Amino acid sequence: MEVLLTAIAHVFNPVSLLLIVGGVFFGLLLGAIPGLTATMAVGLIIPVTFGLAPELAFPLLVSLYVGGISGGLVSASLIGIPGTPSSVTTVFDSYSMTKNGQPGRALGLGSAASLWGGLASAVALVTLAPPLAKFALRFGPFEFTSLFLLTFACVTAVTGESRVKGYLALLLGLFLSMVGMDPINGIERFTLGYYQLSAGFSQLPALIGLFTLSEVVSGAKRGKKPTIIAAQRFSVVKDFIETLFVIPKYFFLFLRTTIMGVAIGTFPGIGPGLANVLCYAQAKAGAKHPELFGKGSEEGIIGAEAGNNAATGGALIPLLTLVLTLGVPGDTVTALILGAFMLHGIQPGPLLFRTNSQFVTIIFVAFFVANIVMWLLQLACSKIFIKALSTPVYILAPVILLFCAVGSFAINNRVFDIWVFVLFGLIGLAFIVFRVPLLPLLMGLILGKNFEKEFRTALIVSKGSLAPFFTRPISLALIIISVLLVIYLTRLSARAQKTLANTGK
Amino acid sequence: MEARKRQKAVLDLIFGLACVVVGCLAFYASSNVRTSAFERLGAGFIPKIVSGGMVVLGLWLSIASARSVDRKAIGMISFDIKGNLPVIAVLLLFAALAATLETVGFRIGAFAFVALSVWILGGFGRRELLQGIVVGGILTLMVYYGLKELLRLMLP
Amino acid sequence: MTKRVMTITVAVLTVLLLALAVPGGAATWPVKPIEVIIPYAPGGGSDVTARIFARYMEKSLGQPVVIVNIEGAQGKIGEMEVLNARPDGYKILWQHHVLHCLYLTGVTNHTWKDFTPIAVGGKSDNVVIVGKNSPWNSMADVVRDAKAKPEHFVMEFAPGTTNHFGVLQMLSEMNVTMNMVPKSGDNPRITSLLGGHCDITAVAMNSAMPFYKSGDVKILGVMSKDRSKWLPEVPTLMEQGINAELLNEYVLYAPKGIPSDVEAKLRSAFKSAMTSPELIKEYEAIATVANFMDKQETIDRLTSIFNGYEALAKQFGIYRK
Repeated sequence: MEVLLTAIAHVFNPVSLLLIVGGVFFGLLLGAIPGLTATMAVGLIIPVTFGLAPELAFPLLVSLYVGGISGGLVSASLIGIPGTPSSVTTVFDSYSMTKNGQPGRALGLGSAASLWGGLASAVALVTLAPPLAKFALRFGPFEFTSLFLLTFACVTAVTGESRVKGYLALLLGLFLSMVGMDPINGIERFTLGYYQLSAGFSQLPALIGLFTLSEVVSGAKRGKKPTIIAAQRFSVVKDFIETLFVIPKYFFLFLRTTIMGVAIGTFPGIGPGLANVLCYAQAKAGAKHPELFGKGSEEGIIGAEAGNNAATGGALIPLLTLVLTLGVPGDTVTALILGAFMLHGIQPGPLLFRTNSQFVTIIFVAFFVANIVMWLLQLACSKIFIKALSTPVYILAPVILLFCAVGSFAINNRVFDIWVFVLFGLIGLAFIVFRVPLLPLLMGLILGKNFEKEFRTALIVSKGSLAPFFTRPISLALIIISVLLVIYLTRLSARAQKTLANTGK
Repeated sequence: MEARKRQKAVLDLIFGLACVVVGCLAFYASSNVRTSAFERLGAGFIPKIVSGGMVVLGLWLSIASARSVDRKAIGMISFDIKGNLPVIAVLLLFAALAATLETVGFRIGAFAFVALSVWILGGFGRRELLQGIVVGGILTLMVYYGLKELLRLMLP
Repeated sequence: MTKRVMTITVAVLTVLLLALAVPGGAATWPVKPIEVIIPYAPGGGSDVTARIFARYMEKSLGQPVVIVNIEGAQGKIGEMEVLNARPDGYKILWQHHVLHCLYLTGVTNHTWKDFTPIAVGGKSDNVVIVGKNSPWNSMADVVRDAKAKPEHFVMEFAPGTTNHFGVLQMLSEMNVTMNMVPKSGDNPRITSLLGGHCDITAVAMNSAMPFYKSGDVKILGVMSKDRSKWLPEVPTLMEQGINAELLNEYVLYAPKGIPSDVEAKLRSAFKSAMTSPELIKEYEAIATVANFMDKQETIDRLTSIFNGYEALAKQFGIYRK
C-alpha cells in the first residue's frame, strides 16, 4: 500500500505528469498520422530518455504507447485510413458513422471504448503481473525453449495469405539474429569481416528500419494529401460525454472483448494489431445486430477499440514479468520498450518485482493515468489532430528519416547502426513488395539468439538428451498448447479474414 | 481477382527462389563455422537447421507458385521507375548522409538532407525549397543542441 | 508571408554557420570534449564508475568528459572503437580485465599492449552464492558433496569472461568437477539460482547484495585476497583453503601512440580524480574501492594478470587457436 502511495506521488509530481501528458499527446499525434505508428513514436523517443531517470523515462514511454495505439482511431474515424495497424477494423464502423454525419460520436465512442479497455487492462496488469512473476522463476532452459516454440507458432499462425511465406520470414529472421558471436562459445559467425557485426545487428535500428522506412517510402510515393471532413461542424464535448456512458449499455460485449484483448496481448508476438481484428470478429459473432456491422455499428467500434487497448496492458505483462523469458515482447512496441529497459540498465524479469517493486508500481500507475489522459486529450485536441493530418507528406517524410538516423545513431553511438537501419529498411520494403508478413521476421530477429541460447543450454544441462522437454510439466504443457493454438488460431484467423472480406468495402 | 492471384504467383516465385539462394549461402557459411571443445552442438548447428529449412520451404514455395506462372502473369509485373525516382533519390541522399556523417558532421549533413529531400519530394518548386531550408535548419539545430545540451549526447 | 520566411531562413543560416566556426588555433590539449568509451550498456558497474570519475576529471581538465556507451560482443566493439581511434587522447577506454579474456579465448586479436594503459582505477569484489534452501553453508560442504558426485551439480558461469576464468580456477583448486552451464549476466544467473535451475554460481558482490539482504541467497565466500569491507562476516575463498581470486578491476586505456604530454596530462587528471576524498566516498557508496596505480605499478599489474590468465586458458583448453 505504501509502495502504491509513493508511486502515485511519483506519477503525480508535475514533471512526470507533464511528461505523461506530453507522451500521450505525441503518441496520439503520430498515431493519427497515417503510416506513423506507436512503434515509431516509442522508437523516436527512446534515445531522448537517456538523460532521464528511469522513474520518468518509463511513464513517458508507456504514455507514448497508450497514445500511439489510440491515435489510430482519429485517422480511422475521420478519413477512413487506419493510422496504425491496431485500428484496421475500427475503420469499418467509425468511418461509416462519420460519413453518416456523426464524426464526433464516432471519435467519442472509440475513445470511450479505448479508455474503458485500457483501464480494465491496467487492473489486469496489476493483479496478474506479480503472481506471473513468481511463476516465471520456475522457467529454466527447457521451459524457455518450449515457450519460444509457442511464440513462433503464434506468430506464424496468424500471418495472412500464405503460411509458407510466414515460415520463411521467420527463418530469415532467425538467421539474421544469429549473425555475430554465438551465445554459448563466443565464436563469431557470418560477420563477413566487419568487426562491428560481432555483436550482430543492433535490434532497435533494425526494428525501426523494418517498420518506418517502408512506411515512409510508400507514404512519400502516394504523395497526395488526405482529404478531410473537418469542414463539418460537430460538438466534440457533448458527443464525448454522451458516449462515455454508452459503454455500460454494452457491458457484456465490452467484458468479453476486454478479456480477449488482455489474453491476446499476453501471448507473445501478437499484440493490439491482431487483437483489433479478432475482437471485431468476435464482437460481430456475438452481436444483436450483426447486419449493422460495417455501417456504423456502435458494437463494432467498441469491439475493435476496447480490444486493442486492452491488449496494450496485456502486452506489458510479459515484458514486466519476463514470464516469457528474458523478454519475449508482446508486440513490436513492447519489443522497443524492452530495449529501453536494457539501455537504462534495468533487467526486466521476476527479479524486477523484488529489486525494483517501487519502479514497477510507478509503471502501473502511469499506465492507468495515461489512459485517462488519453481520453481527455482526445476530447480536447481532436481538432488539432485533424490539422496534423494535413501536413504534406513531402515535408513529413524527410523529417521522419532524419529522426530515424539520429535515433539509430544515438542508441549505441555508432554510425554503423544507421546502415543497419537502411539495410533492414530495404528488407522491410522488399517484404512489402513481395507481400510477405513482417511480424515473423521481426520475432525471429528479436528472439533468435535467446532461442538458440536456451536450446543449447538445455542440451548442456541434460547432457544431450531431448527427453526433459517432454517430462517437465511446464515444458510439456507449453508444447501441447503450441500445437493446439496453431490449430485454433489458424481457424480463428481464417474466420477473421472472412469477416474482413465480408464487411470491408 | 484473377489478375491479383497471377501477380501473387510471380512474386511468390521470386521470393521463393531468393530464399533458396539465401538459404544455400547461409548453409554454406554455417558449415564453415568453427566448433568448440566444450559443447557438443557447436555454433554452426542451429544456423544449419535454419538455413536448411529456408532452402526446403523456398523450394516448396517456388514449385507451388511456378504452376500458375505464365508469360501473361510475368507481363503484369512492372516497376514504375519514373514515378519512384524522387523516392529513390531521397534514399540515396539518406545513404550519402550516413556515409559522410563522420567527416562532414551532423549539422551540415542533416540540414542538406532535409532541405534537398523536401525540395525533391515536393516537386522542385521554389516554395518547397524555402520550406525545406526552414524546416531543415530549425530541425537540425533543435536536434543537435537539444541532444548535446540537455542529454549530453554527442552527435558527430 | 514570403518575406517573413526569407528572414527566418537567413537567420537560421547565420546561426548554422556561426555554430560551425570551430575555435581555431593550436591551444593546449584538451581543446574539445573527451569521450570515455564504455564498452557496455549504461547502468552497469563500468558505466556507473566511469560517470563518477568523469565529473572529477572534468574539473581538472576544463573540458567536458563525456561517457559514450558502445556495447556489444562482451566489450569487443567498444575496445575496437578506441583501438582504431586517432591517438590524440580525445577517445579513451574504461575496461576491466575481460580485455585479456577476450584475447585469450580468441574473440579479439589485441592485448593490453596494443593500448597505452593510463592507470588501474577502481575495483570491486565477486562472491560465490547458493540458494537459500541449499544444504551448503561453506565451501568445505561444496567440496565434500561435489567430490561424491562428480559432474552432477550445476554451476553457471559467464563464458569467456573473467568470471569464467575465476570459476575454472576455483574448481581446479577445489579439485572437483561440475556440470558447467554457460549463462551471461549476473541477474539471469541469480534468477536461475532462485528458480532452482542451478546449484552454485559466482556473481559481482553488488548484484548479490539485495538478495543476500533479503535472505534469498547465501554467500559462501568472497573471491578476493582480503575480506570485503561490505561483507566482514563472510570469509574469503583463500581463508577456506581455496587459492582462487576474481576481481572486477577497471583500467583506463588510451590508444597506442598518443603524445607523451597528453598521456601525462590524462594520468594526472585521472589521479587527482581517483584520490579525491569525495570520489572515494562516492565509490564506497557503490561498494567499489578507488585504487589508483601509477604507470609502473599499472604495467606490472597488467603483466601479472595477463600471465596468470594465459596459464589458466592453456590449462583448461580454452586458449585461442
